[in-house]
Amino acid sequence: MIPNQFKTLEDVIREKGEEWRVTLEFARTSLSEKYLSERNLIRLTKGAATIPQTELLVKLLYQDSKERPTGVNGIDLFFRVVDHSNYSLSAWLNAITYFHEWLSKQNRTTSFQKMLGYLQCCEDSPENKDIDHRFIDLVEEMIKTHGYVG
Amino acid sequence: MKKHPTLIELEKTLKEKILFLDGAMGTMVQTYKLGESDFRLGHFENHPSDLKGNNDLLTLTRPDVIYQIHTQYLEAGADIIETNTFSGTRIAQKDYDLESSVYKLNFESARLAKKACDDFMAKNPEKKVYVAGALGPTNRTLSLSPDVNNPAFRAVTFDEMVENYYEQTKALIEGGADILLPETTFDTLNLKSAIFAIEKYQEEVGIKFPLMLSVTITDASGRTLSGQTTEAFWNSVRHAKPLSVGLNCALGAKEMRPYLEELSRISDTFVSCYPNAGLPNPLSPTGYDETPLMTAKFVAEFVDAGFINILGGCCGTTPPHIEAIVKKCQTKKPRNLPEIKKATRLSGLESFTIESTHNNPFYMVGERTNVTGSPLFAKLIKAGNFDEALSVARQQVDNGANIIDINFDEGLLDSKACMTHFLNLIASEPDIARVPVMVDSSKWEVIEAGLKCLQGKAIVNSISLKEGEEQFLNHARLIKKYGAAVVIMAFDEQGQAASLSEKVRICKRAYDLLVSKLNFDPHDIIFDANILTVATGIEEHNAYGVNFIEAVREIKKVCPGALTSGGVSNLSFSFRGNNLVREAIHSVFLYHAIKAGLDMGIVNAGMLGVYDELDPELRSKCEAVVLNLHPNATEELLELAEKLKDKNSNKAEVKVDEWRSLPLEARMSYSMVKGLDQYIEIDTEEARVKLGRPLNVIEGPLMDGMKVVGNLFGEGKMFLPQVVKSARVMKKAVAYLEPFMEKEKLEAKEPIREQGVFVIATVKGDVHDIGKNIVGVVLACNGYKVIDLGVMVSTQKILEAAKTHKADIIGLSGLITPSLDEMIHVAKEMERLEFKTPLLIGGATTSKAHTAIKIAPHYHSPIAHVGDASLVIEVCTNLLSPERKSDYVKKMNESFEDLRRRHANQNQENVLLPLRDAREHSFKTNWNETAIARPTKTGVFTLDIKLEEVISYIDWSPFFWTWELKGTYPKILGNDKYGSEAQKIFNDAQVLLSDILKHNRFTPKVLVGIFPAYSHGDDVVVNNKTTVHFLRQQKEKIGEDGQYLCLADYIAPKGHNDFIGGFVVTTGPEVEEFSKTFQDKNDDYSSIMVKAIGDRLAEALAELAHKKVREIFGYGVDENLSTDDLIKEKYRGVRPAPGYPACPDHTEKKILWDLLLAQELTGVSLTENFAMNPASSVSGFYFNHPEAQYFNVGLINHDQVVDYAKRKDMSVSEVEKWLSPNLGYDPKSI
Repeated sequence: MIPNQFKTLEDVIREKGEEWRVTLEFARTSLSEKYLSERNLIRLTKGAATIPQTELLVKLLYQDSKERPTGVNGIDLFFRVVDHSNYSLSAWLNAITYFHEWLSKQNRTTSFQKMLGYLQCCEDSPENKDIDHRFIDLVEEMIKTHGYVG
Repeated sequence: MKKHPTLIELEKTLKEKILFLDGAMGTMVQTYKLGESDFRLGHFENHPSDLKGNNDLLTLTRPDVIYQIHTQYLEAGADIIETNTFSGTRIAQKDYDLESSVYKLNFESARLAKKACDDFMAKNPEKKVYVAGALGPTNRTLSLSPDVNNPAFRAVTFDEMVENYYEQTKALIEGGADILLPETTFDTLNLKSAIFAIEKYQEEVGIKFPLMLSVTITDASGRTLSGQTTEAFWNSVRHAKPLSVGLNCALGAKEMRPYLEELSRISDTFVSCYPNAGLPNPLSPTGYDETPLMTAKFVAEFVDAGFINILGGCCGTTPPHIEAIVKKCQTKKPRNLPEIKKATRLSGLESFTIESTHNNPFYMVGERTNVTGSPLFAKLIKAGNFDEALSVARQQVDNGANIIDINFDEGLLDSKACMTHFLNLIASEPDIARVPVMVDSSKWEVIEAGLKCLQGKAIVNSISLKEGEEQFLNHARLIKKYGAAVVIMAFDEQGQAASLSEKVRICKRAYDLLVSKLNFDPHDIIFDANILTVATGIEEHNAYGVNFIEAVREIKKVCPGALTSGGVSNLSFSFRGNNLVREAIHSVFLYHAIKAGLDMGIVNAGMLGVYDELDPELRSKCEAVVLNLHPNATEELLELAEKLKDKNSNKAEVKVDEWRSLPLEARMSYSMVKGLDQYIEIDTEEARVKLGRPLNVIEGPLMDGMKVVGNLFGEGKMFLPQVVKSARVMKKAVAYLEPFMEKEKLEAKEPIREQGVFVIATVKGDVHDIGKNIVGVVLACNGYKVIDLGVMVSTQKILEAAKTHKADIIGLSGLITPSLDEMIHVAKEMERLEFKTPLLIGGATTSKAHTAIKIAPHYHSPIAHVGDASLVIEVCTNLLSPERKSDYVKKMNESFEDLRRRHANQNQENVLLPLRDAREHSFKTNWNETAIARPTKTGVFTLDIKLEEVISYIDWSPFFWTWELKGTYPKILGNDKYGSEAQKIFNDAQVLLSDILKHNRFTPKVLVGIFPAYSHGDDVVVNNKTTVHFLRQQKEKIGEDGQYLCLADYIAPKGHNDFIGGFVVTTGPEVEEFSKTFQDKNDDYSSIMVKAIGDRLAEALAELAHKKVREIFGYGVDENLSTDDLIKEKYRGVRPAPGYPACPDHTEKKILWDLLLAQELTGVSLTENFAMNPASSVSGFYFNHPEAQYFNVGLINHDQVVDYAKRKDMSVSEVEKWLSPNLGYDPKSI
């Protein structure tokens, strides 16, 4: 069966703990419904293992909404990319976190779209043929071998 | 028949562990240095002739010796000992005039072996041991003549052999043997006689005993002495349903390996092996080379490779050999019985398999070796001119007959004698005997005589219920015992079935009787629902044609597994003397019957007209008769036939030459369409002189002719055998031109410096070599001697070359995913053969992780992954440097170990939905409201696309990736890092491309098929006949409204008149040839450039062809997209390729190939791993749904694999092998 989905943000808080309330409120106040609908916020929260992961993504989406006020919104693009990939939402969030941290250590930033593009390349790398890898390991390997230009 | 308890016990034990046979008896007897008196002692003291050497006698005269040998083997660890009865038949004992002692010899031998076993078990109560009654091959052969001047002569008959083996079997079992073991089979027909005798005995006692069969492959030809391949042998004897099948004698273990591997792959029973102790060596005390440890090492590797259930030794092996084998192998796992796909498996000297799929082509049974159907053959036989008659048989095989029908039912002939004589003659003609024989007679005694001459698995034509059930079953029972398939005529006690319902009723009745009462394999049943003569003037005969066609359709449904056949000539008998009309009727009839599912037919391919080439009036009148479309159909055809007859008879004298007076191009086209090769070389030579270059002949008249053939076949208006004949004419013409083309090539030069020797190859099953060639160039530039073995290179060839050239490094390359398995195989073989040479892995699908996790554990010498040609020098330099090698290998191994650890520790990150749920959330279409695109054209056809047209469709980005310049075109030309170099190679490419266009160097082919189709679950049924299988996404989507896609979702279900398309495009084999001209001149740059351009052109052809197909469907007419947008695929519709993300199963390519007859019409073939050859080829399916998109099926779960295996009639393990990159689980954990 398709797993049950949370129905409201309150359900999420009830399920994941009161400490998530602030994070969800932060998301709600940072991004309007247009950029992050309640339904998508619930989906995002469901996939996220940690509060920092959710907050990071909200920040990236916020930045994206400013850079690209029109076109496909960031969260829809992100979900589409995840659905197209072999990796779960949670694996993607881990990979984004890892990549973001690596960039931060280098005092660098990149756009959310480019980030997704790079991570898609990591998934498509020849290393990922015929052998299952943790997504985060692929990202690590790609950065080590080719770095990141962008 | 009930199974003997020992059989049940052994079946269970063999699943759990390996059992061990004893070793040689003769070798051991030799060590006793016995004299003549030992062979006479107490029994044959006054026998008139010498007996020394007749080892079987020792059972009676020196039982102490034989008992001691048995005991030594049991103590060495053998679970099964063989009786001392290798020559225990009257035939063999006749040499000593001891025929009368045969029963006693066998009985006592079994008793003695049993006593040895009982005594051993008394001492070792925890161990169960068995006696195998050995049945030797005798010193006569049923398939070969001992007289070179008389190939039809046989020194023994099948019946005599049966008699001999029956006596031996009875004595062995009555003496206490647990198992029967006919062994050292050098002639399969001898073994078939042994099986027949054993079954006869089993039927009498009502018990099925354990039966082990063992064949001897005589030498490196890989065939038995009587000429069969391993698979042909197994097809011939599998009806015995033995406990095991295996190999023994003649070869040592090392030489036996490939045949054992083959047997292990194809047999659905346990596999045994008892090799000689290496090759003979007269100086060795045992006469053979190998020590116990050597033999044990070889056979242990067989066990590790998963080939083996029973192990032992043959000539030259001794108790220490068996002890060493047991010690090394007893704790190892036995081979698991594989699931073998159901199929009709026939054989001559070679195997012939008809798989039970919906995509079967039509198989042709040659009818010219039938005295009732061929006046020429009848005349030759009546004149006793059998040698000439053989040429008729040869001609049929040469003309493409898959099976030959042989019939001598003629009043003035001794049919039985003729059948025996002719089949014995055929046995000495390998080019004829390679195909299975259909023994055709209405007389049972003739059929039986035929079956007694055939070592292969034949077809009996025919039996029926005409004489009632009892006789029907008796004959069928015997056919099963002879190991043949059977044609069943739709006759019963009431007579011949003429109506549709009667045909189906009788066939179903026969099917049920055979399957339920005799346990007859449905795949060995072929129904002939009577093709009766139409247009006789009798009204009730009018429906005979259509009744047959409809009966075929119905029989295929109600008799699963069974095939259908028919003798086509009968149909048009009313028009005898008017071949033009007869040919037309046959063509029209087959056109419809094959569509209904007819699997094979007895036809004369040379007498088939081309459906579409028939005079339209004649065709329509024939169609009316065959399909009984209206009451006046016969009258109208008769009327037309009369006119045509007059016309033809007036022109009969000149008809043959008429077409020869046509212009050259038309003559060549005529030869190809008609499949006539008589004049093709003369015409080809004329064309060569006229057109200046041989290539111009191929590109011109020959290809034009093939295009006509392709179009006709694509539209279903020519039949497969005709197309095959056309292709043969083409090949003959090309073969004629080859020496001239060779002359055009220049001499090659040798490289100069040598840094080391690097043997490189693209592995077996793969044809892609650009990357490999680049690596070769890089190495050669750096002073390495590169031995490039090319593409599709077997492991054996790679390793032989490595030895011959004393390779310092071996490099393997491959592009498609199945090549990864092939690389593992090479690594395993290198380990087994104790290579120490470093192994380099490279190619687009290879990875460091795959090398570390899947390849490196199998090879303990240095192994490295080279992801990029630019890295190869560094890797090689390090591996060949005495100072740096050790450190480098250590670091590499550490990084591999790290990858393996990381892989072992990873957690499953994905949730995969059950297939049922994924299907529930499929992509949905309201088909009633969707405008389904309808094409203006259907069927298979070629598109005439010139290379000039495709230039603007080239996507240049991958061209730069080939040269390892990262970026996309045109931006890369301005790239800071790569721009300058990119511009250079781009300029060079343009120069070369202009040359290619100017000189028409390539002959692109674009083959397209558009077919009516409907979805059926996750499958798509094409043309109401062929099923294409797709996979569905299972990885959980983020939203609850996520759709789990499958390509079948884009095709409407039945009743909506939807269509699917397919295509194969190729830039042509000339890419390779043109590339080689540069390679021969040592210009590797241009050589690789040619291939890179060839690939781009193939992709561009696919793009343009898709555009044209969208236009055929209408929705593409007003597309108006820029080239850039086309390359970005912004149009409606997709063209996913089998083996790629949306349909990742490479094996579906075979279905696409069958649908399009791609190989015949484009020359693009599929390798065993489904790579396309030539490599510059692209293939795929067309989907027109407005919302169709490319997607990645991604990871799938075990439930879908099981479902898919069922849909494809494949074993789960086979599906897992092909879909390995998509498995969301570890198959070992299931």
